[in-house]
Amino acid sequence: MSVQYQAVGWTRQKKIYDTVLAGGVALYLAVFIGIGAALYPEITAETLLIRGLGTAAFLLLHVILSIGPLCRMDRRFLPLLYNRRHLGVTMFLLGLSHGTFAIVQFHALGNTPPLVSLFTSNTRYGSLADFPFEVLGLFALLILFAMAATSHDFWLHTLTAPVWKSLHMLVYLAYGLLTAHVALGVLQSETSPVYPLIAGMGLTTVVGLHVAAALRERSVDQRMPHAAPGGLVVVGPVESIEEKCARVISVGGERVAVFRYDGKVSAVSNVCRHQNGPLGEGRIIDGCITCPWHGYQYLPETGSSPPPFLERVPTYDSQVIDGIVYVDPKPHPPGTRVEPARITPMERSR
Amino acid sequence: MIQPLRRVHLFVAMTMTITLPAILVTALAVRHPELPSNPLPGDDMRHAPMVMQSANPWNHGRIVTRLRSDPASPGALFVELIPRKPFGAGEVLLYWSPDMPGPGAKPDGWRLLGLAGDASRCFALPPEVRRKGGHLVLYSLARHEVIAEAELVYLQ
Repeated sequence: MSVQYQAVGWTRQKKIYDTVLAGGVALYLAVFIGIGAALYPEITAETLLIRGLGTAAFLLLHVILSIGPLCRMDRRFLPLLYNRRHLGVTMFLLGLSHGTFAIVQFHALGNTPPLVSLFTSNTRYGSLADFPFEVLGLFALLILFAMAATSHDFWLHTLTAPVWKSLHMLVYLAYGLLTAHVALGVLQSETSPVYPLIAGMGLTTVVGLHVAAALRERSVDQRMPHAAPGGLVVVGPVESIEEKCARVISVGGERVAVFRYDGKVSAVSNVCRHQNGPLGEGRIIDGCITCPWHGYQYLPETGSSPPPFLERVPTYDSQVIDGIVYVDPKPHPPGTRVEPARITPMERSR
Repeated sequence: MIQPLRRVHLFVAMTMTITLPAILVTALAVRHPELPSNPLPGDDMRHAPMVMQSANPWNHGRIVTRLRSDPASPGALFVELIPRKPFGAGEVLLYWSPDMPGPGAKPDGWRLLGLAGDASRCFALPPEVRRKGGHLVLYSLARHEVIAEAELVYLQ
């Protein structure tokens, strides 16, 4: 939402978030390497470091992938979403370190160039048990690089939110590649049942959360509002909308957030211009609709961000008749001022 | 998220539900069986007549060392190593060297006898041992360094 470019707008929250993140990663690596060295003294420090970095990256990817659906189901997870991109970049750097050390350890000591060796030392693509799993990790790393490199808001604005979101949905492909990388790599050589069990639990958690969130979203999309005379649609009784909050309805294939505040009702698109976050799940703070994801703000009457910011969302006409809120499903262009519907004291007391 | 992406997300979530567990289960199903513990060359010599025994001829660590002879093959010698604690180094190989390895020595010109694990093992010694004696060398391939050496007494 800034009007001028800033590499990272450091706030106190971001500093705390990143300090906890860096501390957590360092602690994980120290514990992993310490316990690994104590239990398996024959394993070299390089191998322990490679495994520690790889497991840290994979674990962090599970956390990152779980945050989105968890936020859809419980607002208490929203603080984790605020700087999720920092988690993503950290995860990429851990994966990059894992891959670099692995290539140095296993492919850099011969006569063949390391990257050539990566592709040519094992070409048994027809065998599952002997599949060259390292190549899968490399392709996943390339996807994660593209995501980390475009994680800044500069790219979000340049590419537009729908394109940027589509690009970042490649994370699911990267997750699939990394699952195969682990299943055809370390799980082929480690015979303890603990490792497949941990991998299976992680997989079940991520996939289960995403399916649950996706089905929940679909049920909202399929809930069609009642039509009313004059081309309006029924939102519901005024009391069904909590003060300074919204009720979200699905009209014309997209969602509309209908806010109630200070005796008025305004309707705007539910889609935040920043990352397409759900505005209807936010609140009105300081007179502005505030996106729950990253705090982008819009005036309810105009759908415009307060000056000097430039983001705008479509607005909708709304009415309150006999205590029932109605919305015209035809949107106005983004930033169009629409007079809020007034809630009379009689309607408020119904 | 806008509706088209929500539809894509639902499709992706459903696809992951099917494909990812399938990948995991298939990968576990095709795992190579654990390698059978076939006796290694020399292991059957563990009960051959003992020529001599030393509690610990090595300059580092504690490894009980026994020399054994093969009645079926006169002149052939075997060495049995019984480590009292793990080597604490990765990929430890046992070599025979005619000369004492100096500091930073590498296994050039040494004779590889086999992989020395933490369990006891027997290794066939080269015939030159009877004439030259020489040295047994434990070399860590992971560390690229000699971790212990022992002089073989003159056996002729």
